[in-house]
Amino acid sequence: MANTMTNAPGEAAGTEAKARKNIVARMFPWLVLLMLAALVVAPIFSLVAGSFSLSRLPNEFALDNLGFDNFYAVWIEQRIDRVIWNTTIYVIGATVFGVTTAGVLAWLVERSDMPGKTWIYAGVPLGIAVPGILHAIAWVLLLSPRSGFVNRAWMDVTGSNAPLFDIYTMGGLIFAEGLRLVPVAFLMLVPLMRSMDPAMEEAAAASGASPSRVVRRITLALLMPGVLAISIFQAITAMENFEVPGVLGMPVNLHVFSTRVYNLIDNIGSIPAFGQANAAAIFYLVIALIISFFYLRLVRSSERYSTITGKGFTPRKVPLGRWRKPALALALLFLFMTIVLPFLVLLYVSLLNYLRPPSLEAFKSFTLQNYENVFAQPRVARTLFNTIYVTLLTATTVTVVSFLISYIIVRTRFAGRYVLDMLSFLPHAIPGIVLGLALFWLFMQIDEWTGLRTFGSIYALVLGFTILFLSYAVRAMSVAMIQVHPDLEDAAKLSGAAPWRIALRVFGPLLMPTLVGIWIYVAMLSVRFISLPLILSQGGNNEVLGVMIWSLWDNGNISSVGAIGIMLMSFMFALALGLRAFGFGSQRGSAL
Amino acid sequence: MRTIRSQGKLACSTLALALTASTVMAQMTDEAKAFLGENGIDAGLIAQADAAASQEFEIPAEWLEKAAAEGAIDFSTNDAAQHVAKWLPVFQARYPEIDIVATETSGAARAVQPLLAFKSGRLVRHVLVSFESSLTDFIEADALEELDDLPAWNGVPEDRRAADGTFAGMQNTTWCMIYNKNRVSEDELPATWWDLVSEDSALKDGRVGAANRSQLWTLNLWTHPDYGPERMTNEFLPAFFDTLKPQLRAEGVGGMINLPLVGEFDVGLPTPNDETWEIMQTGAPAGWHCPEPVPQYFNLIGMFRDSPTHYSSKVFINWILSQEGQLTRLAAGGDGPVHKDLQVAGGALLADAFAGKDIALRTLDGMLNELPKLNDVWNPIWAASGGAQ
Repeated sequence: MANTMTNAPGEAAGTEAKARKNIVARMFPWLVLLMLAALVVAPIFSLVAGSFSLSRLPNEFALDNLGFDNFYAVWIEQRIDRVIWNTTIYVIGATVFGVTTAGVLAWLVERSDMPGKTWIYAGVPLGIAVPGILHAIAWVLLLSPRSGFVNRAWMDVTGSNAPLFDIYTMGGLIFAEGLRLVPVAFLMLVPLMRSMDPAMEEAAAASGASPSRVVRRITLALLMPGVLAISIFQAITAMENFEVPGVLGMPVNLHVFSTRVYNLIDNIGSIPAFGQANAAAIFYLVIALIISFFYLRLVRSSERYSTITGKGFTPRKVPLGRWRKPALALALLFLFMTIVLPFLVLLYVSLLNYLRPPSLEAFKSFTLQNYENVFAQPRVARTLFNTIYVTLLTATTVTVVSFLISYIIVRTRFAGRYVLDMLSFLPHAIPGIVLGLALFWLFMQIDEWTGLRTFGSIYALVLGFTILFLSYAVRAMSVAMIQVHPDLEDAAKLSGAAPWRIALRVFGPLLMPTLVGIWIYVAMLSVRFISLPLILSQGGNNEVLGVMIWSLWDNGNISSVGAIGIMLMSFMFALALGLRAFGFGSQRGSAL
Repeated sequence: MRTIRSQGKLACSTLALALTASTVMAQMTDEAKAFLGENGIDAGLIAQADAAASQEFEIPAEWLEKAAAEGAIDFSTNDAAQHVAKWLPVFQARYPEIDIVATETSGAARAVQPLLAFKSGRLVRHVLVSFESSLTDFIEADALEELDDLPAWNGVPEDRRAADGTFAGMQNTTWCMIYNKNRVSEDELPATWWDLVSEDSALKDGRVGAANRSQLWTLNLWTHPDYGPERMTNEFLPAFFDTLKPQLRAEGVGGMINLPLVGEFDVGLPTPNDETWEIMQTGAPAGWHCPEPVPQYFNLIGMFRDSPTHYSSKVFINWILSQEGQLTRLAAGGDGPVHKDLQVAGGALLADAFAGKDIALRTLDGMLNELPKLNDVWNPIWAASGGAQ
């Protein structure tokens, strides 16, 4: 009795605590879903609302002042049809060029007997470390029609008045963006090539099919769905890219969607047409969403082409014969053009006392003055601090949030997990410039309603980046989690471990390479990405390196761009090596 | 005990001083004197600025007390970061309690975005410069704080400051053209702007690179009696675009200075005397030429109303307008003083290129009333001629 008397309240409290825990456990996925929905849907809603707003400013939005005028103006006055056409040519061209180049390199590394494959395999992904803006600037310095170092040398040597290449053309845009797409496409294609069972090719060959027929009818047919999915993924990436068309297209009025939207709000003399920018962004977003829809459909149906079975196999290596060395030369040329050349060009510019073509005299005049100037500027230290702060916060937030989302998707029977999966992928379809514009509107409204100071703050960038990079992280995290068998988790549960302990002691160690890999990859993206900060950066409080480089380039301070670019690229190479050592390198890019 | 007593005396004296003297007067700081002396400023000018300091820094003590409690000033500037790094320590030697976050900005980021934020009830910058092309929007928004209570206000000539006291000129700049000495001979350079756009111009067909900055030089001609709106609309501008056929560039002023050096074009237009002088100091083969009439103007400085750094911004702008500030910025980056007592030899870089020539000054009236009219003509022709937008 005494026992009953003493235990009853304890049992009741225990039951109550258990019930409370159950409620929390049941509510938690819903909270995550709501949070994600708010993160993704709220900016899109503000973008759509803004596109119909006929008020001059975001904070003058009023329900009685809405209409279709912005869409009309964008279509008729801004000739968005031309922008759609340019974007189509640019995206298709860059994707075909980039994926084909990546395909050739991946095939050489995985399926041929090319010498030096390890170096090529290690080198190609390093291209991720070259920020798009520096990549584009390097090509301007080399191939600008009149002053590009290559063209200048050509004209001086031949006496010609015409340049050898003109980077300020659609061809130039496709070339520069295509090269930029190769590293990620390569990382995605390598596992595809590796996982192909050679039995079918061998059977075809044994049946008398010629090697070219085998490649055409078997190899390419098997690869096609995967290649198509990768191509669409890359097309979305090319479409949302701002840096390359911003540096190469904008100066000659060769606009694609990302630059047109930016151009509409970057008005030097008067308050820009925000409503029109939103309307243009809506066209942009709809096209990106349609492409993403096809991507998802393709990925889901690609299982039909799976050749991985329980049977072990080693993919057949194709002997290249006398083409072994030329193949290696081709691969090395790619590495030189995408990694070594941009670095050398920026290094050269950073050491000049004034901009001039390479010559003996120029080499003799080398100075570290630009580096000293950069270090003497309080602005650089502040911008560096902002960049590091944003990068650390974004990478950590994205890693944690993607872990939570992936856990719910992969490990629970939560009713809304498919919606959660869809919502987490959706940001991949939102171009950075569009999200920037959407958040610009949203933050202004939030500040007006709440009195907070989100607009122009560093947290505005962190939030924007978190939304933008979540889809990459959730994909990678989910793939890694699927590979961890639930038995381990069940065993821990049966032993009475709390969920947080399971996460820390079971998932943590097993997923560490993925967690670190995602963290580093998101950190790299946060440093590279400039379209979103270009819209959300509002002065010293939240200026980051990408914006500073853009501003210096825009102002014509090319030597400072060189000095900062070299330091940034060195840092990014270190991160890329870290990424390879800890994360995706060990998985060979399967998740991305 | 003795120490406590003497400290108490000191505190009482300070309090008494603070109560009786409501303003803070000062001489030129040693740091300023040293900096100006080391950077080639004439000793006579330094002495003059030193003598003026007691009047120009006669700031109410209350301003300084409140400024010390405020945060850092967010300063949107067109000044290169390395210049700011030079003059900022001189300012902070006088006002160590005031911190400044200076961001070099261009395009919409310099003036339009801060104005937009202001109109939306937010302040993302506190002090800004060179907002001339959006001046009418700033006035319409009533965005600028009155500055005519600054002790150094009267140093700005009347025709270079707002009648209502909301903005002032802070530096004089002369806008001409840079050329690559290896590619352009002196006899190819035009004596007047009419010569530049004539059929016989040696610089036709893409040798000139032009930035889309009509307000920096064309406006001066628009308001000059020899040119005027009618001749500009019907003769000069059509000849500029159709006869001269310059490269219409997207780059800003910095691009106009650097690109002739690598042969992108031979002549960059418009380029300011201070930045051109700076590139010349590197040994670059750059020359600078001013056709007549010579476009000159003064960059504006102002501060937003309701700023969280109200007092520190006022103290800062006062320093910029003072002789000490004007000479310090001249020494740090070649920015020409606008101060009426500093219009002397040595007050402008590359003055040989325009000394004795007819000057076309951009006036406040021109900026407020004529610039929109010029833009109505300039913008369509620029776009129709394929200019980068």
